[in-house]
Amino acid sequence: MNAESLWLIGSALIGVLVSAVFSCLPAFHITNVAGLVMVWILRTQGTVSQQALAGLMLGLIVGYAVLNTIPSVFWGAPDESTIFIVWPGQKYLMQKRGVEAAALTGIGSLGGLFLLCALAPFLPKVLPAVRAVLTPHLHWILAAVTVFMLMSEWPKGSDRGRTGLVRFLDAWQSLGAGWLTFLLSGVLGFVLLNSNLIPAEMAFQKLMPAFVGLFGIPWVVQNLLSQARAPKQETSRSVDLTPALALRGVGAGALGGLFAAFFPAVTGGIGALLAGHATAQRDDRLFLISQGTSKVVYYVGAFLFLFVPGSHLTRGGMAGMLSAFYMPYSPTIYWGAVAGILLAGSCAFVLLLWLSRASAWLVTRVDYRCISAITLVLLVGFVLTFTGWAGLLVAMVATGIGLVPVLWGSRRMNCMGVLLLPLIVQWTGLGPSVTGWLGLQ
Amino acid sequence: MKGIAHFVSGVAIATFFPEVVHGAVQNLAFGPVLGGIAGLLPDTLDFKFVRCFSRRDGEVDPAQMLDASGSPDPQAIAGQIVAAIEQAHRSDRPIHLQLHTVRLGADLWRQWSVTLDAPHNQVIVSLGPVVTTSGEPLTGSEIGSLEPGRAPSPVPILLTGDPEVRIDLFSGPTLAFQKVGEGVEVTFLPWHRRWTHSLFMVLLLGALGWLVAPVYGLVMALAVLTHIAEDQMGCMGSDLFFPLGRKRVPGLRWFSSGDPTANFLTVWIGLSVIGLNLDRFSQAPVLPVMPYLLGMIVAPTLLLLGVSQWTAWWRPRRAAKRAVFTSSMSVGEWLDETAEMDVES
Repeated sequence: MNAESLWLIGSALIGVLVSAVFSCLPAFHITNVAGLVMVWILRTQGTVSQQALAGLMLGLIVGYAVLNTIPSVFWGAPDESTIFIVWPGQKYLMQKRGVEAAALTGIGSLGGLFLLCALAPFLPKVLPAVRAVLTPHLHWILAAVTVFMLMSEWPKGSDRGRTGLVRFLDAWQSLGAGWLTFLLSGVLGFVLLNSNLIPAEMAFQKLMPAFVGLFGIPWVVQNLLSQARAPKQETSRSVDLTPALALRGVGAGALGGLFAAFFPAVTGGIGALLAGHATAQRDDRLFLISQGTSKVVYYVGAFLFLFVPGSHLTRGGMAGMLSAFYMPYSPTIYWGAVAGILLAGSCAFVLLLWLSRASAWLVTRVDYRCISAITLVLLVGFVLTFTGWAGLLVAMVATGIGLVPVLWGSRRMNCMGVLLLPLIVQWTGLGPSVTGWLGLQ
Repeated sequence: MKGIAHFVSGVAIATFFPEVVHGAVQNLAFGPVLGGIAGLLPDTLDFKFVRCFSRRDGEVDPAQMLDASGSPDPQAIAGQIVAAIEQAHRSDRPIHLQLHTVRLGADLWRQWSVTLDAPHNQVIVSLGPVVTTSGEPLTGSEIGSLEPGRAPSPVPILLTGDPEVRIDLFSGPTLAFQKVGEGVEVTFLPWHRRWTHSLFMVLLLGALGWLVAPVYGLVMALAVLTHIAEDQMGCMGSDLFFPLGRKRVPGLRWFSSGDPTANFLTVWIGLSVIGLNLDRFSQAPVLPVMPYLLGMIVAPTLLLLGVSQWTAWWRPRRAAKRAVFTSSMSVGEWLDETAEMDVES
């Protein structure tokens, strides 16, 4: 192992520690922190080696992929008056088993990390072949994923209307809201990608205010409005899990995660949705494990693809940012990255167990609405600092769109229209026409 | 089968046509997506349109039929179902009865079941445990003192499916009662898998696709046909010969629609076929066909079926040794907290 790899691994460990702070905040995405790192790198050119930067980013993404289960379990107690579906993590929290939920997700994450490392020897051979076969078809595959995402949302109405029309309108309330969310977020994405609303020097963060508004702020707003309180948590030394269930969860999550990691604009959530449907999941434990695996395989896998010799596939926001400064070139660096993933992932898992216990202690002592309010201030501060008032305006518009699925009980995943719609339109050559219709030329 | 299995099957069917694959690459067309849409369309039509406008002659809402203690009254429910059977027999026209679920919270439902006991000509209604949206029952949540409700039917009950209907999550099912001879035939979900799952639909979508391009007509027709064939392997069957016949042709009962192995295998095989076809019809194929088929389709299929069979053999033995449901906290406490949350909201 050479000095470059050691730099990479060492800084990956630092990255995990940094991400441990930010990953525990609700609605905070690690790409926001990475954006901050990028600005710092731009201003202090030459002081940080490229390998150290790559390692730091690797640590950030591994840490985030494993640790961001904490806010989703602990910092969002479900208020039955404001939500439509209680997620398994929230269920566990209300059953005083939040630590167990975090541990189950962590087991899934660890499984995903080991699976990625087990696949590492084959990636340099398999990835270029898969890429050669699928690249000419990306436009319709992405369209197929989008169509399935929209078609597979089923009515959540109560089916109690007196007439057929009432039942139809009831059923289509959430479905229509989902389609509207997709369309509006798609138009927003199209406007952002084809205009100069965001300052040119922050072009790599062009969609950041939209993502903060679509996903981050609605979560925080929902928390602020919530009246529910999490009960005092119990800490058990074991989890209710069988090896067969763990294997099934890791398998399903890995499939979804790999799919999402390979295809641009397909996120871990969409991958997990597809995998969940494909494996007909019902068990909450299976859901938690597969979510843990899917997240890790998606975030870390997409980042690792950049290091695969002979492939240099740039997928995901982190890889996109890093590739602007650094392009890994040797098998030694690739194996250094794999070793960094294993080490950083193991550290992140231990941190997860410790931080979930700390969060379980904190959740009954600190009102999470206070934490949500602080997060809201931080998010707005980030947007304002990086993208100015125009960015804040974009975030406000995006928040309006992001609140539609929250208020009407449709899938929040439809907000991914912000990326999916512009990409599909662009790849099918319709970009200039749509740009013209929207008056952006 | 799950929607994704039908969708992937439809896309896989489309990739068997070189024109569709070439069109997708050279003209940036969306032919394979049409296959997916057609594959999922029968269920989309049923669940998002047909169900809303389906006929409804009566409703059974246990939350509105309470006894003196405030619990749903199984006897009254059984009585109402038998009344619908009688009405169907008397009026000689089909009676559609909507059974509603009992929602207790955002994630809690009271399970209840209707057993159409044909040998004894009676309807039995039982209240089950409280279940979560994942279908997980909470131990001790049964109403212990409550006896099942039993109502004798004055006319013979003729079954076309399983005798027990369990109602728990989201929207409840519809039952149709229709006089046949001296008895009354019971049909589960009378609005589902009718014209949308028929050979008529195959022709209709085929014709619609044909208008765009003949090959798309073929793709869409075959995608719907594949959907119907996949559903026929289950229990309910489909109304294959609509409008000539108005009865569902029973399924082969090889597996239920939610079976994880069957669903996963269908998706896996579909995706593998898509990969192979895209490569076969590319300018420079890289995949060796036979090793690919063996490695990606035959071996995983055998492995998964083997594991599934072994699990089916092993699970009942293990289940007998385990506690029914292990939870780290008592259910009573859990329910108390839920009630508290309801009050707060």
